[in-house]
Amino acid sequence: MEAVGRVFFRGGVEQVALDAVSLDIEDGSFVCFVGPSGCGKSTLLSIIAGLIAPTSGRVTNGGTAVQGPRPGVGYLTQKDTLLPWRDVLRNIETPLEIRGVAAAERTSKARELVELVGLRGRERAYPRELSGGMARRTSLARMLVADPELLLLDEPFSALDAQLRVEMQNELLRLWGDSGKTVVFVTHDLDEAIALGDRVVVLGARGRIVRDERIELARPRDVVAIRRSPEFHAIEARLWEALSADRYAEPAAVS
Amino acid sequence: MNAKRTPRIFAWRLGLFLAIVAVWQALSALHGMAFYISSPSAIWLREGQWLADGTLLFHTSITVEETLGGFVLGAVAGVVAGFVIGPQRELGEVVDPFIVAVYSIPKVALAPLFIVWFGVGIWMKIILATVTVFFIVFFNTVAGVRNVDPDLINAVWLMGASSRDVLLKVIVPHALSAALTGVRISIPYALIGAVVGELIASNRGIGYLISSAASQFDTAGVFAALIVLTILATILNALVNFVDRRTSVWKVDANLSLRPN
Ligand SMILES: Nc1ncnc2c1ncn2[C@@H]1O[C@H](COP(=O)(O)OP(=O)(O)OP(=O)(O)O)[C@@H](O)[C@H]1O
Ligand SMILES: [Mg+2]
Repeated sequence: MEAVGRVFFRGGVEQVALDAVSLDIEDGSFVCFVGPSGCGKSTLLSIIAGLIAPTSGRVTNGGTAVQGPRPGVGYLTQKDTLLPWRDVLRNIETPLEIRGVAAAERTSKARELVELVGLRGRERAYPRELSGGMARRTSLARMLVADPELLLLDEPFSALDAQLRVEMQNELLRLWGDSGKTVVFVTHDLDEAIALGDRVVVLGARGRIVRDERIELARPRDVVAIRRSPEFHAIEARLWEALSADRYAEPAAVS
Repeated sequence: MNAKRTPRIFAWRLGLFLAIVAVWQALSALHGMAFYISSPSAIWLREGQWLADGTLLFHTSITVEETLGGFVLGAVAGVVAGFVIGPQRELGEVVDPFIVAVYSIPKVALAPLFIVWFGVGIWMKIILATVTVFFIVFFNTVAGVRNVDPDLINAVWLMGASSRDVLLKVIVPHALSAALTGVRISIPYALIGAVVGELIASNRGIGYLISSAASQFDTAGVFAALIVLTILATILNALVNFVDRRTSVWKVDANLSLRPN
């Protein structure tokens, strides 16, 4: 997957959500985006997903321009969008249903995913009966059941408790491991980004890339153990500096 | 707490009811008052007499028939029209003012027109009830179709859904729960439509019982018919509550799907 985005986003008055962001995302890589709230991370994912069009620039995928949702892409949006009239299992089955997969196969696949995200026993619960973290995991399962090649994840684990978050992070790394899938992962949490990614892209307050760093930590990783290594701390210090430098440099440039 | 309160409240209700009956009975004994307010004993006798000679069953069954007929026709027409007009924004914008205009007419005012069109028989009452129910169900269905969370539509669209999938998996289920709310609240209005029709022109039904008794200054008959009507309305309301309880298991409040984060 190769993405070149140069994008603006307009809302009433012209508001720059993303300012000429250009980057390549290699097939099979794990790229993390971090940045302050409102810097355009979600906007960028929606553009890559083909849900909204860039106002300038373009996104290409394997040579063809992205012009709308396409198969092989799973997008876990920041806000949960479970169908309130379907229980957990039926929600997870939805993408397969749309694809025309037979009922028996659908259910058995959905059950595997329920197991994976640790929601066994809650299959028949409706979204309004779930906690925020359970809803999040259901959404994740619904995305994974379609077995996408490109995973767009917008703060997938922020609603989970620390322990569950670590479990899910390791699970995601294991899943991605040798699958050849591409992951684009958005988070507020710098530690999480470094622990998971091959590459961390730091976005600044006005939708610009302020730093793009390769993470050369060995794989396979354990997200807990890796946080204790000195290399990890060195990378974290560098990126933290980039983030705060951007924050304090910015207020001067008011339009 | 509830277990203790329920019998107490019930006892108070019974006491209040008996007090009203007693005061009523006492007042009616005053000179000339019976003409205006009849008396509980006279009403009770009339009820028994109507029950015995079949009057009660005959007129009640007519009213029930009109109410149910109007309810079913109005609910079906309202849901269908709502699903047809709801998704088409432009058509909706064109016809909305007309629908609101017709809706704003008090339904009683349509009765004379319906007499001209359908005669004074049972159909005129059914149609009056139908019209009343139709608008309630229609507006609820349209609102249900139009207020679907766009994020839900995007979500299934991202899964590669066709517009048919979006309709069947998102719009219809969402609108159906709104339509059901409309259907539920319209039940008592069907009764109002039917009785209003009977009051205006009829020779049968509870509305007719009321107006014919009144025209003969038969106050006991008026009250007796009103009591039958009250009982009928109470039964319908109980039905509404029953339907409500059965459907709330899967009925959704769309707002509940919006979660922070
Ligand atoms: N639909 C929209 N209409 C108008 N402005 C929007 C819209 N969506 C996003 N924006 C604006 O674009 C900017 C970037 O929003 P975006 O949601 O991409 O931020 P984010 O980096 O994901 O933030 P967070 O970390 O809080 O989720 C914000 O200033 C936001 O107000
Ligand atoms: Mg966001």
